[in-house]
Amino acid sequence: MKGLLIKDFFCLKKQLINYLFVIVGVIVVSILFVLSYNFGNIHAQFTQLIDSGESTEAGVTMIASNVLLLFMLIPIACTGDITNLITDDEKASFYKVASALPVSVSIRVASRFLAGYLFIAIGVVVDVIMSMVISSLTGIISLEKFCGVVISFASIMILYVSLFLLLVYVLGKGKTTYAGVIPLLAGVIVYGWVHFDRLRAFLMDNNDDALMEIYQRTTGFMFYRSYLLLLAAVVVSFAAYTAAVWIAKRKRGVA
Amino acid sequence: MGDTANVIELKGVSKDYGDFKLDDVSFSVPEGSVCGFIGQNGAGKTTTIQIILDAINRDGGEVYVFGKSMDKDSVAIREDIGVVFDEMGFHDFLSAAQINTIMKNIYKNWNQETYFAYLKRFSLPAKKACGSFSRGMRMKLQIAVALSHEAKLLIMDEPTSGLDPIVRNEMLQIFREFVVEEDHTILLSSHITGDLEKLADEVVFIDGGKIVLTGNKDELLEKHGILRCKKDEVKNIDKDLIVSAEISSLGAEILVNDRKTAAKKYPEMIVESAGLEEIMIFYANREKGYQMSQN
Repeated sequence: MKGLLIKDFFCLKKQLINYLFVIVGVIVVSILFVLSYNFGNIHAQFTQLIDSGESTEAGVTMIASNVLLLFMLIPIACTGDITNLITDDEKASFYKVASALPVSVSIRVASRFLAGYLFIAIGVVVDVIMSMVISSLTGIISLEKFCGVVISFASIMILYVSLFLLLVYVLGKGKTTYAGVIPLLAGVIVYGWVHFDRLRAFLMDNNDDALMEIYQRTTGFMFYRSYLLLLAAVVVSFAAYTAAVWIAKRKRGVA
Repeated sequence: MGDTANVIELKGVSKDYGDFKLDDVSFSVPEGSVCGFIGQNGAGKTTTIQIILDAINRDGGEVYVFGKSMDKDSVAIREDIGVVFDEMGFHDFLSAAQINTIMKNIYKNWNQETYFAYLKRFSLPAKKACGSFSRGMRMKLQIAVALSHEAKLLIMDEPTSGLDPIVRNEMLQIFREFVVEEDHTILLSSHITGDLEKLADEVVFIDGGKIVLTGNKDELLEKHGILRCKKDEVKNIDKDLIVSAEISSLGAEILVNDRKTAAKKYPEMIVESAGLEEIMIFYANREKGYQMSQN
């Protein structure tokens, strides 16, 4: 398994410059944002909004925290995107080499899942560092809440990667794009279904409070109940791995 | 349990893809031999090799490698098999040195000194991305990998296809060196019969998913012959001797399965020795039902 993981990290190395550019960029921009929020132009702009009555203290804090949450999502989404690993293997016909190696199908599938989770872990490390730096500079979001957000994002990415890899085995070679899109659509559908009434109120009745409620429920869930997402991620990843091994054994030559 | 004297043993192997079927494939490869696995493109060579490696599921039959069933020990058995495919299979951005790092963490018996010695011998740069390699260099890289983990069996699927004669010859030399060791065996799939005539001890000929002919190469070449005669003389030839015939307005060419008997029986006709390529073509024509084809 170690050799296959090393191969995947060599694939990652190819994208290292892109990763570094995105991650360093996000860290720098988020720190600049926090500094500007506290002392610079953003601070002045928000003060003006509060003074003119166009927004409240809570309103501008919410906008600022939204921006920071978005920044937090970028590194984890960037490193967790393992589409290239699959397409690179397909392009090289690596499955032929893999099938001749002294490695069982279950280990080959496990290495693929593990590579995906390790890449997510890189994003998590970056996010944790960002959380510590940002929470020490500002009180917009506490470190505790940041941790909840990081766990939530990591869990969402684990869910995504698990379903993506399962679909890679289900759909077979050359269908990586579908395998990447279907879990995203599933995620949107589940999220829409959970917030169906509020979304309908916002879209049909122009009820802005419904949108605010969706936001508050979502952030509240991430801040305080992220463990539920993590639990779901663990269960789904185990089920996806088991199903992927079963499919790969039946369709030998694919794994 | 399979016979340990045979490194590879297939018994009644079948695989049905719908549009193509591997039907009751049985053959064996003795230890220490070079077995040429010949057949035209699409005959079932690659499918058979994938089944031997347990890379794809088969519908029926048994496969033994080193006397062990591939159903039970395929992972352990693959430690002793070096495989060379018709295409490289490594990512274009990987260097030979990076491939060494990957392989030394996969094969228990990986010998990086041997690997780098082969790279040096083949003039392959260790640090350069293999995507920039020529086809010959890519095949040599695969061979370097296949020979660097103390494999006892080398399975190669069309390794010389698309290579220039000089590189092909160089590769055949490497294969000869490999089988100098008594317990080293090669299964070499190819449709380039010239390479196999130079190298093979045994020949297995597959056509349309069926094994058409197996045996010792020298015996097959000794036995078979091309009988040339006039068109109207064909009907006089003993049917039991004929594998298949090609008849044109200029005359007839018949592959006979017993050259000496044919020469004795028909002294007025020319009976020449047949090469593997001619044997392959005439047997393939017979399988297509062109036993007495007219051009």
